[in-house]
Amino acid sequence: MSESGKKITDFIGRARRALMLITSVSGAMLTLAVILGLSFLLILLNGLFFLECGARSALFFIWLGISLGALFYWVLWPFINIPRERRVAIDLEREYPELDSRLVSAYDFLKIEPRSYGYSGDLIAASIVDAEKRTRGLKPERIAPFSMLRERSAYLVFAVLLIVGFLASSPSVFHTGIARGSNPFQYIMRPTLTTLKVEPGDAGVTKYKNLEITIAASGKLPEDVTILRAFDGGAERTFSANRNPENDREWSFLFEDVKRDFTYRVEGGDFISRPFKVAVVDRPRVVGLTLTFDYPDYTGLQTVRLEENEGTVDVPYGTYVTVEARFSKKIERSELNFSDSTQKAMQIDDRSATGSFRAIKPGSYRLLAVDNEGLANDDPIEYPIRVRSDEYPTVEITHPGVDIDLTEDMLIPLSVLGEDDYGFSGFQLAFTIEKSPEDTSRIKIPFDSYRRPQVSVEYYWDLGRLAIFPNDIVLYWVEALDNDRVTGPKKAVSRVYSARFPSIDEIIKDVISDREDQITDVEEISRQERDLQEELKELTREMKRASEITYEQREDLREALQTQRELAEQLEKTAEEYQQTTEKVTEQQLASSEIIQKMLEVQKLLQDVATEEMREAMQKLQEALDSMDPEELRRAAEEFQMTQEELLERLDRTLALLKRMQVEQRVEDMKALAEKLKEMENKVSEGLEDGSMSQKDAERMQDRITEGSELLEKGLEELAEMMSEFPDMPSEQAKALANEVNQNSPSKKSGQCSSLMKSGSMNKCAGKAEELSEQFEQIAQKLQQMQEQMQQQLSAETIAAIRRAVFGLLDLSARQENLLGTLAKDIRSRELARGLGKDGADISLALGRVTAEVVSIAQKNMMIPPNIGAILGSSLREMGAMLVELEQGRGYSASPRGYEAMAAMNVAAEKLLETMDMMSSQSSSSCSGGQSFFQKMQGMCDKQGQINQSTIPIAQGQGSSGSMPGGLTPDQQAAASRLAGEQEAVRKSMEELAGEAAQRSDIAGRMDNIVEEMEEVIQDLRHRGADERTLNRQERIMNRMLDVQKSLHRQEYEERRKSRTGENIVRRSPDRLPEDLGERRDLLQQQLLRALNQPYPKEYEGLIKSYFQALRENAPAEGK
Amino acid sequence: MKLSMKKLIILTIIAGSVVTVLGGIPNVPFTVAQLKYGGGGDWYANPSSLPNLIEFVREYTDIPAVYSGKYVEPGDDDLFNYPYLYMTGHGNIKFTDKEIERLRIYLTSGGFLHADDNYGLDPAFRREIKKIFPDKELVELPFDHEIYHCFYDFPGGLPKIHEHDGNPAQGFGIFHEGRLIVFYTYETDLGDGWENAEVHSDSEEKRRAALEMGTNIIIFAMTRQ
Repeated sequence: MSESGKKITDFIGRARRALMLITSVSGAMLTLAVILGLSFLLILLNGLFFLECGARSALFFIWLGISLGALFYWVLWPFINIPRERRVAIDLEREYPELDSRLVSAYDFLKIEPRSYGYSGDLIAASIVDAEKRTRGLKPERIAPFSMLRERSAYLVFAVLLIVGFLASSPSVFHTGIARGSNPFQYIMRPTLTTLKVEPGDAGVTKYKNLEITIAASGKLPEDVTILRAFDGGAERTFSANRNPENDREWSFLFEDVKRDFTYRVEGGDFISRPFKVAVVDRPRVVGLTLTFDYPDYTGLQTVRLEENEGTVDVPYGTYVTVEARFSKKIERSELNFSDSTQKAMQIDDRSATGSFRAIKPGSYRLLAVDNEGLANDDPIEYPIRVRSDEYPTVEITHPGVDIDLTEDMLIPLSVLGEDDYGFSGFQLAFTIEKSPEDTSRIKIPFDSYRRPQVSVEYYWDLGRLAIFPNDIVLYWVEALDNDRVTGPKKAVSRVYSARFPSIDEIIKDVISDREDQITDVEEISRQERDLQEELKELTREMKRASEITYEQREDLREALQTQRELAEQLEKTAEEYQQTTEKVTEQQLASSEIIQKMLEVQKLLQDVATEEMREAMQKLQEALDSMDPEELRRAAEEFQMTQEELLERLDRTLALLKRMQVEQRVEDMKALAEKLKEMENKVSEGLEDGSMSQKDAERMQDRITEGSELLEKGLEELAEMMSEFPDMPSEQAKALANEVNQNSPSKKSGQCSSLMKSGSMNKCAGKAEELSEQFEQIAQKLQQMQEQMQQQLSAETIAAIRRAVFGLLDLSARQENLLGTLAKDIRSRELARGLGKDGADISLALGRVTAEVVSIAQKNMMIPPNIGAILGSSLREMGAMLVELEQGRGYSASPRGYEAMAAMNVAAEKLLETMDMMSSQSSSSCSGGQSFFQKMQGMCDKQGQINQSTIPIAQGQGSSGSMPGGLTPDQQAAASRLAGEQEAVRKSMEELAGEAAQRSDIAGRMDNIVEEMEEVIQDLRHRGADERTLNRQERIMNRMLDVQKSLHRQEYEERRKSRTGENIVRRSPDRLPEDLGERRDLLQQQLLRALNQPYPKEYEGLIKSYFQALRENAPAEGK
Repeated sequence: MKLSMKKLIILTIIAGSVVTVLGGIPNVPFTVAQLKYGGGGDWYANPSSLPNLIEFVREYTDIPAVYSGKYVEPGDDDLFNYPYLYMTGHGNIKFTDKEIERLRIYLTSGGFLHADDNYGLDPAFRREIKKIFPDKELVELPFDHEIYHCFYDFPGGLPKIHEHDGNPAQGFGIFHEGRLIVFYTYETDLGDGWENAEVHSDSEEKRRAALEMGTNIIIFAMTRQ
């Protein structure tokens, strides 16, 4: 074939291939569009309608047939029915008319044998070449059916959009249609009105665990849901599921303790589920869990074994926890899994396991067990671990609890309160002297309540053994250690308190100043009382004169009442201050028991100045002021005035006694000061001699003595001056003593001594010190003599005055009796009555003189009963009234008044006689042995203190050597043996003392264990040496001895205040109990407070208060 | 009248004991303890008082009263084992907050406290009892109160055993829901009267009066509603 022929063939071939390709592609598209369209219809039908299996199968076959037919016709057939080349050439001629049938001709020429038809070969060749030339530049692909391709693409797109649109618009119908349509030959259950969704459906569950089935309903809501359970294909048992109260479309059911496999179905409405299978897995289970807590030592708690299955660990820090577990089956391994991802293996024994851990941090743990099939326990319980840490302790000094001045005995009774969650291991008293704070010392405070969370310790701290001097301040505090031995004891420190050692001159100055202030106060009160008295007199006179009481008079009375109240309060305050001074004097041992007794009596006089009658009169006056009755007010004002007069009398007496007491106390103060200075001087001398006192300390002490001496000199001068105001006092003697002391000025000598010390001339100083000591002693002796002389003189004067008064009163009483006897003979006789008036006036005058003398002596001696003035005053008033009646000639009215006056005279005489007897008996009584007992106890305390101090090195030596108890060096053994001997001596003395104290059960009771403890210490020292226990015992001994010593001192003070057998006082019974028994009023109070705590507007609060006030006032009347 | 009252009370106690035994409740003797308090006061005062009083009660009434021989603190665990507490002293009293709470519970739960002023206790006691019962008042008991007549007859109220300030003896009470729970004896010093005869050298008559009054207090505490 020629070249042109080949090209023509190729041209036609290209056209035929393009035709076939486009035809096939468009056929495939159309086929797909048809399949999709059919599928849409199929899904739609199945989705919307429930079709039985046959219908679904038929539809499926239709869908399949059409799809296959379309595939064959439009996709495969074009490949089978390939267009012939000549046909293609004709189509090309038709597409390109310019070919002018040359292409077909040329194709024909190429296909025929030219010689067969007699055509010229050249002509044919030329025709072919011509045809070929004509095809040049033409595109044979143009004959392909592209328009058909576009059309069918559109069909396909439409079909796809239809499907997607369906899916998007109704997915449930689409899915249902797909599900049903894609399973044309499967049985499909006809859809129910109700559908139940069952969870978990098929399940595996651990043996003995619970299995919960939950059911959710959709569609029509069933009335109830039942579960049908069957074992091994057996009969089904029905259970009702429980509807969820919060969601009526949900039910649940719990299969408890599932033990074996079963199947179940769920039925509700027209729905019945398929059978679900439950398979039981036999995993190991914990059937018993027991915890044992071994608490750390510091808690003091006993080991505790919890009840079974109590798995929570809630323990103090460091507790050792043992976990014992029992399982349902034999296990291969077990471990404790902690929340911090650590594990601890447990010891296995067949079905049980044991493990332990120390609780040191909070968290949780789980118990894991695995059996020999590798099955682990299911969902092990997580038990919490709570670790309580040992909190820091707290400690406080509850007594004295304030900064104090040291008292003479140099003892501080300390009360210490410690609190800790698990108790204490020790308390120690720490202290330092303020001037040298770097030296802090500590003393162990013995106590025995180690394990108690709250410990109260009493400790007598004896500062007498410390090297402290007047004006030194000791700072002290208590340290408490808890008994945490796991992390180490924690310490608490109390507040720091100070104890100041006041100098004697300072104390005396204070006391003197206090007394002067108190006298000034009483003088001022007295002055104001007098003014008040004048005002009242004037006021009552005016009120008597006028028929009406004016508003101004009422106000004046009100003001007078208020002034009286204020004065009474001031008096009470002064009495309190006086009491404090008395206590100070007692604590500092500045006064003898006699002086303290007198001070207590003056204090009582001060307290009793405002009598009960006075208070009643004030109350009546107040009530009268509130009422509108002028007569009542007049009566109340008069009564008030009378009691006020009586008060003034008492006040005058108290003031006079206070002034006398001031002098007596000054004598006492100066004596105490001289004795103290002597004691201090001796201490300096001895300290310098035996080297127990440093030169610096001696200088300080001597300076204090100089200051004290100055006060002594000045005080004696003042004393002489004070005495000069009292004619019965030995003022000349006092003046002589003051002059003598001034001439031999101890302050100068002391100053010189101090200078010599500073210059280092200790020998010269020693001589001066001795001289000073003697001088102080002489001064004290002279003051003592002066005191005794004053006492004797006053006593003699008082007894004589009382005697005179008693005789006078008895004589007057006899005269009065005669007078009344005479009057009684003709009591109606006016003449007789008037005639007896003169005798009565004489008796009254004499009674006035006796009264004046009694009042005068009462102002010197407080032994005179305070009410004697009132009794004699009453007698005088009655006498006055009797005289008025006699003068009027009314004997029958005068007689009872006269008898009243006589009775009062007799009572006064009797009281005075009693006073005289009491004074006589007091002067003859001897003092008790308490002081010597106290001194003995003090001496033993000192000795015990020395023994305790000497024991410490032995105990420390023994401890530090690390040897076994009893392993003492020969020197230590010798020292221990010596101390045992000394302790034995103290024990014997204590035993004797306890024997003496047997009469005083209060003391003996507290000495009970001292002797026994001493025996223990002696045994220790003889056989084991000394250790911590010995020191503790000794400390306890010391503490108890100091306790007894302090008690003795206190007892001495208290003895002065009490112990006279009482006489029953006849009086009216108190009023009947209040209706509320002291409770109800407060209930109202509480209700009021509660009401006021509510958020009421301000304006309502007043109303609420008024309401409760009204209730309170009405309560007794209502009786409920 | 006095005799019949005594008989009545003894019968009541015996009947109570029988009922208790028949009811199967343990017959616990009436145990008395002395209160130990803080503050520095001598809580240990009058050590022979309670033993003497209890001995007297046992001898003259057949009541199975027992002296515990213990000083009990308000914070002690066994506080509630003692239905009757006695406190005395001359000085300060100080209860901690916890002690106040414990005493309040003790007293309002059936406990009874006899506080006896041994002279000097009064201000501290009044202050501290107010802390325990801020809502209640100490009220003076009239002479016709049962405590003065329940066994021995004291028509004039408390006997005056010791003289201090010349004031009359007074008996005060604190009530809770109508029940006397605290009896405070002031200016009488009953405790001194109960002590051994040689301690205060009181007359036998005085001691007897003190012990009889003490007996009344114990019987009242036992039999009150």
